[in-house]
Amino acid sequence: MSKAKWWTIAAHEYAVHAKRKGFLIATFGTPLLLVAIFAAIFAFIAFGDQSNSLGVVDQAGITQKLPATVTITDTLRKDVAVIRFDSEDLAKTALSKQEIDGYVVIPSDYLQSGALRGVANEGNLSSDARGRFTDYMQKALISNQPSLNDQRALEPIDQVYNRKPNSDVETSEGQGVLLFFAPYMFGIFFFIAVFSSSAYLMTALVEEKESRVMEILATSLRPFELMVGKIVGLGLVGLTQISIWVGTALLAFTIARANIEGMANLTLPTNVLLIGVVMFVPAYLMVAGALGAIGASVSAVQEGQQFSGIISILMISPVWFINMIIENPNGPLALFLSLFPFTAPIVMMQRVALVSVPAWQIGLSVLLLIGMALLMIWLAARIVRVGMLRYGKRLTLTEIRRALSLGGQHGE
Amino acid sequence: MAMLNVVDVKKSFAGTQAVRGVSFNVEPGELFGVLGPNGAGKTTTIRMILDILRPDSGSIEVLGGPMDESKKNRIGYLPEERGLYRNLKVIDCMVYLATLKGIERNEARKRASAYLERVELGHVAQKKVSELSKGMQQKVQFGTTILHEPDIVIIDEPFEALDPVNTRMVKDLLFDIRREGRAVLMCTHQMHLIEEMCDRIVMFNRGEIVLNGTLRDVRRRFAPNAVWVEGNGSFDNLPGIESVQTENGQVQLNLQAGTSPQSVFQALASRGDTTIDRFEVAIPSLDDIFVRVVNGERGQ
Repeated sequence: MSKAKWWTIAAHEYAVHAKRKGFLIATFGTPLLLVAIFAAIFAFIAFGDQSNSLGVVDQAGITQKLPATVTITDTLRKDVAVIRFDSEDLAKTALSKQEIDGYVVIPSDYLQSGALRGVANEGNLSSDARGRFTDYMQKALISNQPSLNDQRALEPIDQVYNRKPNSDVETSEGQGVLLFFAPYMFGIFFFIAVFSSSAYLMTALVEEKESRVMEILATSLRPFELMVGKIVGLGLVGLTQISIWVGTALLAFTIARANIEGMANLTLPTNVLLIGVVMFVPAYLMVAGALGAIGASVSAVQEGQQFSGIISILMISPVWFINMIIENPNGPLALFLSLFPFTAPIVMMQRVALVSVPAWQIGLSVLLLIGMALLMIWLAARIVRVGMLRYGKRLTLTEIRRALSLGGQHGE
Repeated sequence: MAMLNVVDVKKSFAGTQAVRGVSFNVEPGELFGVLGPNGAGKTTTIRMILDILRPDSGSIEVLGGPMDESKKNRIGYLPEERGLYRNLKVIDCMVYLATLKGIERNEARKRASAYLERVELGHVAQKKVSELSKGMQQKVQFGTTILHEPDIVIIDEPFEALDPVNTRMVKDLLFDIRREGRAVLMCTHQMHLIEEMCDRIVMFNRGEIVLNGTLRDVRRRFAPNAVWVEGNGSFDNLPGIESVQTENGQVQLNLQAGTSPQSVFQALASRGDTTIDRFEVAIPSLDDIFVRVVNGERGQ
């Protein structure tokens, strides 16, 4: 095979597709959009309806074991100080000076009635203030239980450490959340990059048939060279895209870990990333082969999209079973989906994040994926040879069967 | 060495014989015409020459041997079903297709620019192909066929969508190729262009070659042994004339066997009451021959 020609095709496909507006928007827009969404959520939580300081006037005498000022924390929101005032007049003064956003009076019959009186300039205590006072009251009540350690009563849960069923490695709560979301995120990136590159391949083939450029290409190089060139070029497009996405995610994670206290101890699940890296190339070749064969068989882009939809549904189908996979990551369903080539990349990443997957299962999964990739490329090369000059009419099943039995022979 | 040598080539599709034992050859410095009605087997034969299809039997030699990958760069092909990358710039499209024929990128750009200037399309080099008129696209398409300076140019309906001025430009380019000792195999239904340009022709009908030879030979084979005369006076009662037909002021004198056109001319010239404006040995046009052959009349 002339290296120059497939490389010329690859370079051309890369240059054309990497400059497309759609590609640039998807590649750079997706991380920006994700950052914007997360920033908006964070801003909503952090800067939304939120109290500064609050006051409490204790007429029931149940807060005496608490310090005069208690800091109430909440995930993502800033800390709020609840200050105890000796009289309601003092609390009113603080409120009028805007030192506090509001206060509650704990009446003497509180233990019987459970009723508090809230005072705020707006008339109602904000939802955030209500949440903080609930926390405060629990602390106050627990602090009065004589058998309990005061400090523990104030901070009942300092940290939760989690373990995988077959592992002695402990992971923090935050790390657990990361282990759940990271494979999800990588899976989505993986799917989009693999599928969009393969879809470009299919579209390019159909367009070349529709525009009749195909016959000129057919007299310039072998169909196999054409396929190799397109697969390599568009694979590099996908690789560029996923590299930018994963790179942005890693950068964002690094920045967040350096700046957000709660994330300092989090570590990225590198095994998930490693599985993704190992599976990317065969998964791309498999889908590219399948969509290439579709592209060579059909006569219009829309027709190709209908058939390619089946492949995309197959690949994304693990999302439907995500609860079952999480509940039983080593169960038969999870095992099957992590071995079946079209679902393997996403499910294996999820499983590896959750449990210790036996090495033989990972090995078998990768082998099956490579096998399916080779089969699809073989299939595509034969169908392209026959279908490349078929204009305006898609190949019939009989013709496809004949194409496969022709081997390296020409035919029509 | 023949540029192309096709010997007894056959090809069937699903039991239907598309090409039935076709043989012809194309020599260096020759403009070779291929005629025939739609579905006669021309395109299938060309695809076999180009190794897109493989013949069931027979042999095809290209540039002195069997077709192989190395020879693809030495052939330029303008297919009947053709097109360009509509979203690419004209110059980029030409350069890309030339690089697939083994031309280095910078050289391809240089040649493409020169070609566009020659065919008066220099101003559209940076435009998208889709922005061009059909005729302009056709000239760009023709450029992609010859940019890599192929030894053999195979073109199917090269003058489609071209006005007379642009037809002249493309004809000149083809004559240049012939002058340089390269070969052109041209398929077209425009008979007058075949008559003007081609040295030899083959005519396909129902998968077979029904005519093969120089234009002169083919026409003679179909010549009716008659002369055409225009003028004033009587053309009756001439010696050696079998019959006289008159149509649109032109008189056709059908000669008896053994009568020469020269003797008829002398007899007419000796008549004092007759003036001759035109005297021509009757030779049928390629158009007439085509229709007669396709309608089942064989001149052989």
